Formats: sequence, structure tokens, C-alpha cells
Amino acid sequence: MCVSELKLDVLSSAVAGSAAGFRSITRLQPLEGPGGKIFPATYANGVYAVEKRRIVNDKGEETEVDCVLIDSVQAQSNRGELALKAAIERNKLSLPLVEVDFSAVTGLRTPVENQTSLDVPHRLADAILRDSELPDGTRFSKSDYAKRWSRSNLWDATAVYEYCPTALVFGMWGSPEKPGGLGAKFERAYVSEIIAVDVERVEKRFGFRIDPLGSSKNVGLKEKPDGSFDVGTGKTRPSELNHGNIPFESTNAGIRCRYAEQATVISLGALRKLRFPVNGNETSAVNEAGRTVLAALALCAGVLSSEAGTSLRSRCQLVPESERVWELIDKPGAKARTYQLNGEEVIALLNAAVKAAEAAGLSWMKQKLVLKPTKELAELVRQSQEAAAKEKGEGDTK
Amino acid sequence: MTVLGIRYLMGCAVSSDGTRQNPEFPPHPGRVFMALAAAHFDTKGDPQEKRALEWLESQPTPPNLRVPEFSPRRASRPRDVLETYVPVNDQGSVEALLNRTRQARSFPTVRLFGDKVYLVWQGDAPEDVRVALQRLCTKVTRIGHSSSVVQMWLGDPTERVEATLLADNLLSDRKLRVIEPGTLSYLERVFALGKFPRLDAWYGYRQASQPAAEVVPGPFDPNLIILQKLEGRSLGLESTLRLTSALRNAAMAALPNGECPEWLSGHAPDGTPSLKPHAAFIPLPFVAAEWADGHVVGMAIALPSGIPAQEIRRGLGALLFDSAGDERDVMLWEKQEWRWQLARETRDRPPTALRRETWTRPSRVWASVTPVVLHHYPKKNRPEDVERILFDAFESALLPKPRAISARPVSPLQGAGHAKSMPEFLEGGAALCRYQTHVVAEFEKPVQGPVLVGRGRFRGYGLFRPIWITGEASDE
Repeated sequence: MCVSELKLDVLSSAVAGSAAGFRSITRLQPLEGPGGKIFPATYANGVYAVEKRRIVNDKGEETEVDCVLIDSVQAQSNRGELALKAAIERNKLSLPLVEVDFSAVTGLRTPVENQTSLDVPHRLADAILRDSELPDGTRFSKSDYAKRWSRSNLWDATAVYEYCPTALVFGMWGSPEKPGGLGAKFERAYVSEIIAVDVERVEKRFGFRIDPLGSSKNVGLKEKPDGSFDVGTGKTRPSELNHGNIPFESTNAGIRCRYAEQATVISLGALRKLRFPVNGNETSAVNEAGRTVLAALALCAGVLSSEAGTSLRSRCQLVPESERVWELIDKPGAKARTYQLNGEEVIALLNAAVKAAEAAGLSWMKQKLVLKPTKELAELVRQSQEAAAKEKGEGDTK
Repeated sequence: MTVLGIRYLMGCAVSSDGTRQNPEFPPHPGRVFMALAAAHFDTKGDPQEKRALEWLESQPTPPNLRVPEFSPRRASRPRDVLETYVPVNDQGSVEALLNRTRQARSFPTVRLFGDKVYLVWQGDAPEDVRVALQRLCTKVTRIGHSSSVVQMWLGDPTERVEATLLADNLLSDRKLRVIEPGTLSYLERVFALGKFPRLDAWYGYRQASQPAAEVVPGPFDPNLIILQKLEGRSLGLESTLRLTSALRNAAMAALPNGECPEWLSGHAPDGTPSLKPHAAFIPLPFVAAEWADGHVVGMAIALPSGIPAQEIRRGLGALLFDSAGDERDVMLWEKQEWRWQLARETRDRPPTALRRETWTRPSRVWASVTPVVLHHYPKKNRPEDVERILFDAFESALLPKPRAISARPVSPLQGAGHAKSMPEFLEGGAALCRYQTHVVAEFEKPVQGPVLVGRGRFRGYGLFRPIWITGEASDE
């Protein structure tokens, strides 16, 4: 397979042409080696998502095998965003960001990390941003920023490009802003998921939490309201307060698989629907420049998240069998051209695309827009922490 | 021919049948058209694209489809629904950061064995329509959910695409949403209002018959016309003759001018019994499962192979459709004793007893559900005379000679019961043979169903079901 480096002119041509998109299919193995146990994502009631696939076995015969979804489309999008955020924090990458700063909120039991447009579930449309305010006290949802982006659509995506271009890559639906539930809506252009192929389920998991203190079940405890306890007087067993040996049994005991497969598609068709008028004027040069930036941004998410390592959850760390290769899917039936690029190269590609877009007249927000939570949002966070602490039997901060 | 190709780039399709719980696949032609129309509206497409869409909706019959096999993604515990919790965002009041409520959502998905689907219209699109369709196809990015990314294109007119699903309202076993003249205008209005569209035109489809090279065809068309019971008291297999006679009578009574073709009535023009293959009316019971009790779940009409579609429409159209061309229910009754309301089975996931493949899947081994009525009594002083007569019965039924036959009083299929629990088959006169027995037959090569053997085979006696043996694929 002939693999080339992906340059800006190739990317621009692909975006301006009729290619459907880029696709990368990569095989992964558990960190502990082929056949190692991994833990897939679980769904409501603790079930796995399973399906069948047909593969060619070692004898060259087609066979139907069981597969399990390890990481969903939504989870993979989140990982792409987190990889971009990590690159920003390491000063490798510069992107528009809207951030809600909780550092000044007092009275919290546990500090709350600042939330950026790359962290919050609904991106620019998220309620956390909506219920925060600019430094001058203007509520974000009433600010000029919100007024601009909430009127966005496919025909004028400029404001979203300026404030939160990742929303155009990973999708966004600004539903609360308009009556009837429809609002600024952008379909995702980045779709990725990881599936374990040819799976053997480990049926049950047994074990013990071994108590190094050797607490005896025959010693009764009596819980007190403040979370402490009296010893020797009550009927509560030490194990009920997480002391002592505690057995556990779980039906989600992980899986083993022949391999895991990560499939990622970046839809150029979705990006081609976007238009970026500037000051009321729209040109095809600006549109294509903006779309090229977004394509490069999507590639950044895919490449950087792979380089960050696929550590999906506890006991689910995967490593690729080979470097990621990206096919450009163009004419049906024609052999796809393939490209490879590492983190440095893809960031350089993005920067070049951004520069070209700026030269064409399309720019994005350079400074991070920092908001702070409104009083009521801060108060709700505080009260929620108090409520959670009470449930656990912890004392009041006041 | 005009062919549209769809390639699912992730190898799976994510779209719901409207319940948001079950996947919808294959993509209904109506859904594909909506994707094309959405691409046209989203990009404010030109009048040529509009004309191309109007050309598609003006086609007299919906497209045939070529669809890969697929497997639905489901929860690892069979009775659970695959749901994920997504954080809500559309609440009017301030929501706690830590306690944002989450809403259960499903993303019904199917994994495709093969990533391409084709829609094939019989008409040849004019050149300007082709150019516009090609342009429109490149704008379609998804069919279904936003994660169901696709590449779409206009196929080469010289390329032959063999359909696996045929548009056939009469012999259909499922219905798909389709388009009709005016669909584009409706979508345009709905799009302008910012609402979600709903297509209400449906058309029947059936699997194209694609027997494997080694499968031996039977005398009947495997495209059974299956009727599900909507209302009526529960009746067991012992009511077979009453049910099948009622269905046959209903088919005859529905014919205009009482002109009944020989392939339907089983009688030659002079009134004598026909020597040619003719329609069989059969019960479809709940058998071959752990708690099966043999009650009749629905009924079917098996047609002899090779009857032209026009002939079938003339013969059965009045039974199944009203004067406006809409499907109608079939009413069966027997004086004051019972009354049944039947309708054509078109559900995506009907019960096993009402699936065509349950009764027609090619198999080497078949077991009787209703006993086989012999053509003549076996001689008591001839050992294995029953088997000899049965071999002749298979030949009379235009089936290959089995490699082995086992006659037995009880069917191996749970729910089918003892041969003596079925009333004797008295049609044709009491002097005719009434000896009936259950049978298991094994053939050299897989035989395509339905398999009907013996004297009462056109009335539901001698109905067989394929069974599997160790080492072969199960039908469940």
C-alpha cells in the first residue's frame, strides 16, 4: 500500500472536490498482549452492546463471530475533544475556547475544574455556558456571542466557526434556544467507534477486598450521624462500613477478543454543507478555506487521540498494531489514496489551513473567552455537593 | 434501469423504525428519498435537482433493492434494551452541574455483512436527470442517524445489479415506506416549517428467490401468502380442515363472476379434479418450541410455481385487496362456532410461525406437523408397506424421493401432537383411505419448501417443517 504525507493542497482539493471523506480502520490489541482481558463499555442495566460480524478465519473460511462494542461514537467524540484540549494545554495547539472558571466559587467541598467548550456535553450550546456570565456580568445566553451563534445554520456557520469550531466537527444541537425544540443544528462530521472482534466473554468475576487490618465481623459497630462510629455496641458489621473482607461477584467480568478494531470516518460531505459568510458576503474561496480548516481539525482529533493512547477505562487499555492510515474515499470502486500523519504533522496541517483561511478573510477567536458561573449556578453546585455529602454521612462545611 | 448505490462507511447502519428501539434496515426507499431531498434543501439545490427528485417520485413502481445480510446490535442480555444515558440540555431552569439529569436513548444499529445497498428503478432516467442525481448523491452524507455516514452515487446504467428484495405488493412479506407523486412538495412544506416529516405510503416487498445450486425446488412457490390472525378464538391443529376450507371458500367467493382458475380451485374446467399443481391452503401453527401447543397462529396460501404475476392478481386480488387497491382483512367463519379476522403478515419481526422461512427454508430433513394421509391402505402382510406408500406419496407430490423415511404416530415437533388427534381426512368420500401418520423424511439434497405430501395436502394435511440436525445451521 502506497502511503503519502497529507499536504494542505491535497486536503483542500479533497474538500473542494467530491470525495466522501477520510476513513481509518486500525486494529488494536490489549496492552497486556493479544488475548488479554479488557472491559468494554456497559449500558443501562450493565449490559454490553453485542453484534455479529463475518470474518475470514485462519483456515481462510468465512465465519460469523461475536463482537462487543468497546467505545461508542459519542465516547470517541469526547476523547477526540479531550485530545485537542490536552494539546492546547501543552501549548502545541491553539483553538478558540470558551471556558467557565469555577476557581473563584467559594464554599465548595470539592473544587470544580474549569469547564471548557471541549469538556461540556453539548459544546457551545451547553447549559453550563448558558448559565454563566461574561466578566461584565452579562449572562452568556444574552450576550452578543450567543445572539450570533444561536442564529447560525448551515448557510451561516461563521459565528460557530469563530467561537467553537469543534462544534462543527463533532456536531451540535442548540435546542433550548428556539421554541419547538429546533435550533442551530449541525450534524457531526467525525464518527468513530471501537469494536472487539471474535469475542469470548468471561462470565463471572469473583473476588475479595482483603482487609489489611483484619477487622472481624464479630465486632459490632454503631454508626453516628456525623459519620463516625462506636465500637462494640451496635449491630452494624464492619463490612457495612467497608471494613473487613468483602466478597464481590460481577457478571461483567470482561472479554477477550481476537482483536479490537477502531473505525473512524471524517465526512467531507458534512463539511461541504457549511457556509461562512463574512460581513454579509459569501464566497466559495472562504467556504472552502473554512471547510479545509475543519477537515484538518477533525484529523487532529483522530491523530492526537490515537497518540494519546487508547486508555478507555479501568482495565481497558489498547494499543494499535500499526500506525494509523487514512484512506481518502473518492470515486466508488476506485482504489483509495492513503495517507499517514503524526501529531506534529497534523497540527502543522491545521495551522497552515487556519492561516490560509485567515488570508481569505475567515478568522476565529484567538483569545480564550472566560466566563464565570452565575450566582445561582455556583449556589446550585455548592448545594448539590452538600446534598451528596449528606447522603454519604459526611459533616457540614458550615 | 436507474441505480442508486449507497455505501455505509462505518460498515453499520444506525436508524430507527420510528419506535426508537428497533433498527430499520434495509433503508426504506422513502428514507433514501428524504435523504436526497434533505441534501437538496440543505444546499438550496438547483431546479435540475428538483426535476430529478420529481422524476424519481413519478416512477410507477418503487425500486427493487439489493441489500447485504446484516445482524442487529443488541444488549448482551436478550430481554434488555440497549440504552445509553445522555445528559439533557433543554431544561428551562438552571441545572446543577453535578446532578444534570440524564435521558435514556437508544441508537438502533445493524452491522452489515457487506457495506453496499442498491436501489434499482426499472425506468431509464434521461441524461439531465442522471447528471442532477449524480450531483445530488454526492451531497448525501448520512442515511438515518448522524453517525450512519454514507457515500452515495448514481450507478452505471450498463451495470447489472441483482436485486435481493423485490417490490411486490401481492406476494410481499414486509412493507417499506416509499414515495409517490407529491412527496417532494410535502417535504418542502415540512422543511420550511422546521418540522419532522412523516411518509405514509407503504409498499410490499419480498425476498427474491435465490436458491443455492444444490437446493432442489419443490412444486410450490416459496413466496407463501401469509395471513396473521387478528381476532378470533384460539383453534388447534385439529381444526385444520375447517380453517383451510373456510379460507378456500373465501378465495372462491371473492372472485368476480365466479370464474375460478384451475390453479386456484384445483378443478379442471369440466369440474373433475385437476391433475396439475394447484394452490394449497395451510394452517401455520405454533410448534417446535419448548412450550408449543400447536395452536394455529395464522394461515397461508401456497401457490404452484410458475403462475404469472398477472394471473395471481386476477385470482387472489379480490380476496386481498379492496376496489380501491388497499389491503383488506379476510374474514373466515363457521356458522356460530368461530369467526376469524385475518390480515396479511407484513411485520418486520413476525412470530416464527408466521415467517416464510420457517416453512420454506431449504433443508434435507423435514418432519410432519399435520399427519400425512396415505393414498391407499397399507397391506397388513407387507412389512414396510406404509413406507412404500409414503415414498409414492412424495413422488405424487412432485418432490424428490427421500433417502430415508420414518413413519411414526407422534411428530418429533413439540406441539404437533399424535396423528390420531387430527380428525380423519374425509374429503373425496369416506371410501378413500383415511390412514394417517406422522413422518420424518430425509433427502439427499436440501429441498425448498413448502413441503406438502399426501391426500390432504391442498387442505393442510401432510404439512412439513424443516428441522435441523447436528452440524447443520439452525433455523432459529
